[in-house]
Amino acid sequence: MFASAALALLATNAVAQNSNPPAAKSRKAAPKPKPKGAWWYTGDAPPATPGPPDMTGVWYSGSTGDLSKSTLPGQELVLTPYGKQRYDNVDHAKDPDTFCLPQGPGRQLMSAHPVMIMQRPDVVAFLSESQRVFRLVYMDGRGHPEDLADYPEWTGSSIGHWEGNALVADTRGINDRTWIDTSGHEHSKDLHMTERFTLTSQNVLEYVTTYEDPVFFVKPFTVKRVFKRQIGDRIMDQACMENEKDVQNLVPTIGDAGR
Amino acid sequence: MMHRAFSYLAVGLGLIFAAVPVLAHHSFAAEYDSTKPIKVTGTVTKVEWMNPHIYYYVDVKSEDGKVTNYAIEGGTPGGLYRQGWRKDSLRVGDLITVDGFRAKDGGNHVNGRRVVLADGTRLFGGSDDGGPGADGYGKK
Repeated sequence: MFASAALALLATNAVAQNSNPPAAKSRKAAPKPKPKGAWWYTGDAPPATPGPPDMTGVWYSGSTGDLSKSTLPGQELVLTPYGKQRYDNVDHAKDPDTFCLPQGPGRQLMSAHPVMIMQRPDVVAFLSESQRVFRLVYMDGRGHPEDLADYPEWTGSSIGHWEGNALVADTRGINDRTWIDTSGHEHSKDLHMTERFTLTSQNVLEYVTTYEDPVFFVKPFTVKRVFKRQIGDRIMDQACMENEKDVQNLVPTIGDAGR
Repeated sequence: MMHRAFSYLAVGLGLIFAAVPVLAHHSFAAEYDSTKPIKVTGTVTKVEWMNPHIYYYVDVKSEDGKVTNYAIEGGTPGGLYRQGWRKDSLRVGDLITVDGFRAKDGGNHVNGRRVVLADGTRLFGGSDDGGPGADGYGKK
């Protein structure tokens, strides 16, 4: 409703302000030619290979928004009193993403930028266009680093295995400065994520994640999102500090005022 | 050729704008006021096709001849590229029209949403975020 109402308003005033004749050459991109390259880039059928399905390719989810709105039935996000106090008072001018800090393991997969997945039997890499950060999910049977609690990571530590056609990643040791979504849900150093990636078709990747953090959430909650394959698309440049000008203009914006 | 700027009061629009756009890099509401839409028509003076958001600058002449330079923030270069923009979509000297939202701090900077380029092409100039103007305007 919001978008259409705003558009109606804008359209009323947008008519015929431009008196220039059309230029000879359009400033808009020409129609895309069919891409050439690997099957996951062209959208062709993948070659038949033994083993688990190959998720290699470029995927897009869109922004995290408010993860409490993407939960599965019976798996709702319920804040502890402390979690609610934090959520009600979070300052959107202090979103770590705005300061070009890594968004955290889940949020860097769910953003306004695509993610490339590169899959090997022993490790799966998630390469995010957003801030050009990466995650590695080790599939070789190792555990988490023993001293992970002393050396948390902005992207967390991830180990994974296959359960049927689903890649299941266990992620811990996530720096507690990250937010799990754009709406400002925070977490403690004890956040534990269990992510399940399932190819439901060649071009659709289901992403189901359980977040467990008793400091902020009364019980574990599970979020389901769907990634779509970006056929022919590519990872673009995203050097976040290149021309950062927003920080100086931000004003304190607390809780729901920023949502 | 007339250069005109329209800014209009959003009387009664508080509810309509209760939901705010979600941006890729920062909170919309921490920088811009969704109850203060603005239409900017003027001449491009500078273009910065850079991360994390493009910026372009537009000279707007008011009825009394006073010129104000607006800094307009757009989407992220990669996202705009995918929406059909190219780095020469805006050039210094172009006459363009932008619908957007004013900054909360009262400065002359604007979150640009819908853009009419010099050749008449209409493009969505923000992040493809579900906010105003993001619902198919000028999609490739």
